[in-house]
Amino acid sequence: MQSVAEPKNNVRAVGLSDRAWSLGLRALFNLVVLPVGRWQRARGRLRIPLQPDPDAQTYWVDRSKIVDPVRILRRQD
Amino acid sequence: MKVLGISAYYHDSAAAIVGDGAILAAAQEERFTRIKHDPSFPLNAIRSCLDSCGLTLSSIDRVVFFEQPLRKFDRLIHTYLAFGAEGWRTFEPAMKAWLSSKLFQKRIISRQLKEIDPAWRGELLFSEHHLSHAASAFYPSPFEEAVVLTVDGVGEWASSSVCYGKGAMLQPVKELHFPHSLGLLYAAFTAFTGFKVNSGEYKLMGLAPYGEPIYARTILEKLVDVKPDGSLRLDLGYFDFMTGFEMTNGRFAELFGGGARQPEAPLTQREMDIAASIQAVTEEIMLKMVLGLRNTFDCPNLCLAGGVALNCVANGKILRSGVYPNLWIQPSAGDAGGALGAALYGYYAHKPERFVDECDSMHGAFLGPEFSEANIASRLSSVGARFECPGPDKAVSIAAQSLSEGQALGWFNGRMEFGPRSLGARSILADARSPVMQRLLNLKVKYRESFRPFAPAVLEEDVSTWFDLDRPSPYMLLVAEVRKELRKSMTEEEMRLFGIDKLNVARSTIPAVTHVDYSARVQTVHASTNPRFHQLLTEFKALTGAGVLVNTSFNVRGEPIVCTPEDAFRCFMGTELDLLVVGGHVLRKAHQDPALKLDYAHAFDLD
Repeated sequence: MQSVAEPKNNVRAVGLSDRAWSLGLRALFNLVVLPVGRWQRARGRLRIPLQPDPDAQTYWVDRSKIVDPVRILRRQD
Repeated sequence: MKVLGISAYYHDSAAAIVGDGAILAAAQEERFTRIKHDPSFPLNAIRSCLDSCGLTLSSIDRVVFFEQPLRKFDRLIHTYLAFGAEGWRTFEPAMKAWLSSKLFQKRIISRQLKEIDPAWRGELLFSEHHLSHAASAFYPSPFEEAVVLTVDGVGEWASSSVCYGKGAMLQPVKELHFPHSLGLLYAAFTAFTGFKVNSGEYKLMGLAPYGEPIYARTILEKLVDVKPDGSLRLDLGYFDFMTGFEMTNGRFAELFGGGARQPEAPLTQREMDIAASIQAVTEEIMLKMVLGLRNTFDCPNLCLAGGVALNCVANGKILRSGVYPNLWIQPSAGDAGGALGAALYGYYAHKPERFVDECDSMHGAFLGPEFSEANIASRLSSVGARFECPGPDKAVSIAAQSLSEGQALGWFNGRMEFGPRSLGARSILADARSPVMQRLLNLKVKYRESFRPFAPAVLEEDVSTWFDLDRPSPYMLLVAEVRKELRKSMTEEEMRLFGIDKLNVARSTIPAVTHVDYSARVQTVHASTNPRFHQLLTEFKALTGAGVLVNTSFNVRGEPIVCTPEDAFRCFMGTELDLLVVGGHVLRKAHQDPALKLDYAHAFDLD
C-alpha cells in the first residue's frame, strides 16, 4: 500500500543535521501544531471538515469572485 | 509572445511551449530519462521543446509553473492542525522536505532554468494546479465558450474545479477542497486492490468489467456523501492518506472483507467486484457533476481535464448520457498536461482574443520531438541496426503487408505524442482480427499477463462500421461498444471462464480489441493530423477489408514509451516484434545481429 505523499529528495535541501531537524520539528509539532489545532477544533475553526454534513445542500466552495489572472500568476511573489 | 509551461516535483514532469496562441511543443520528462512518471525538473523536456521550436530559453518571454507551492504548504499546515497527534507520523519528513527546499521552489526553478541558459532573465510566474488543468482543456478545445470541469487527486486546496471559459477569458467558478476528492477516493481503491497510485488507476478501470458492483452501495453509504450536484465529502474515518503513509486504514478493510491485495498477487473475484463498484460510483458522481453543471450554465459545451478525465469508461458514459451535446477532453489530462495549461494560462492572461480551431488546437497531440530521415539513419547505424531505406511511402506498404500476414510491428512516425497514450507516432501495431493476437502480444511483446484488451485504432471514416460511436475520438479517451452485428456470443462453457481466460475468448470479429463487456477504447485516425498512420490503415484495409488495427504503446511493462530511434531499436531487440518501421526505414528482426538481442522482460521495474 502507498500514499499520495510527494517524492522526496527531488529538490535541493538546506544543510542541517538530521538530529537538529528532528529536535526542531518535534518542538514545532508539540508546542505549536498540537495546541493551535486543539484551539481551532474547540472553536469549530478547523479549515478541514472531518465528516460529511447531511444537512448541507452542496459541498462546492464558491470561487466566482473575479480575480485578474495576472494577480493569480503573481501570487507566489 | 512565447510562454514556457512547466510541471514538476510530484509525478509526470513535463514542459510545453505556446507561441502566438499556438501550441508549439510539449513533452514529458520520463521519455528522455527513461524513468516512468519521472517527477524531477524537466530539463530534458524543456531542451527538447526549445529545439523543436528553434528557440533558446532567452527568447521565451515568460515561464509559468503549473501550481503554487506556497498554497500547497498552507494546505499541508491546515491538515496537520486538523488531525492532531496522529499527524506526527508524517509531519517530520514532510516538514523537513518543505522547510529545507520546497518552500524555495521559485529560487530552485530559476536556478534550474539558468542551467539551461545562463543568460535567461525572464519572468517566472505560478498558475494554480486546477486552473492549469482547466486552461489545458479549454484553450485548445474547439469551443468559443465552454464549462470546464477538472477532477483529480489534489492540487493546492482544490480537488475538483469548475471554470467558465469564453474567448480568451477563463474564470474559476467553484471548487471542492482537499481531502474530499474523487481522485483520492479512486486512488484509495487503486492502492487497496494492489496497484500503484498515480499509475495503476487505468488498470482498476480495466478490471471493472470482470466484476459486479456489489460494494457500490457500501461505498456510497459509508465512505462518501454525494450531493445531487455531484459535490462530495469523504468520511475520513476510513482513510489514512491525509497524514499517514497509506491510503486507507483497518476500518476501510473491514468494509471489504479483509486486507488489501498485495502487488502482483493473483486477482480474485473480490478485487474485480471492488473495481466494478468504485467504477460505478465514479461514473455516478461524474454524471451528477455534469448534470449539475448543465442545469447551472446555459452552455452546450463541456471540457474535461485532471487525472480522472483519463477514465475513458466514465467519459463514454458522460457522452452517451447526452447531457452535453459537445464534449472535449484534454488528451494529456494528468499532471503532465498541467505544463501545457500553465503555458496557455500565462499566455492568455494578457491576451483579449483567442483563435478557435474547429477541430482543436492539439495537432493530434503530436507535439514532441521528431527526427529527420538522415538523423534516423545515423542514429540507427550508431547502435548497430541493419535496415533498408525504401522511403516513407514504400515503408508504409511494407508495414501494411506485414500486418496483414499476422506480424506485430513497431511503428515510429513523426513527432512523439504528448500524453499517456500512443496514438500512432510511437506505437506497436497488429491485426485486431486475429484471435491469438491478444495473448501473443501480451506474452511475447509486452511481457505481461494483462486482463486489459488492447485499444483499436480505426479510420475516422469507418468508426461507425465497427463501434457504436458517431463522432471522432482521436485521443483514445472514449469507450464505445463494438457493434452488435460484429459480436460473437459466448458459450456456457466460455461464460464460466475466469479473468484473463475469459478475455482470450474471441467475442467479436476484432477480438484483440474487444473487452469482456464488448467495450473498446477507440482511437479514430485522421488524415489531417497523422497522414502516414491514416495511409497505413487505408493500405491495410485495401489488403484485408478492415480499416482497424491494434494500437498499443511502444514499450514493455514499466518502461516509458520510446522517444528516440535508439529507444525504438532497443525495445525491438528486447521483444519478439517482427518488424520495425522508423520513418522511411524498415528493420526486419531476422536481419539483425543476434548479439544485439536484449533481455527486456526484466529490464524495468513493474508499474
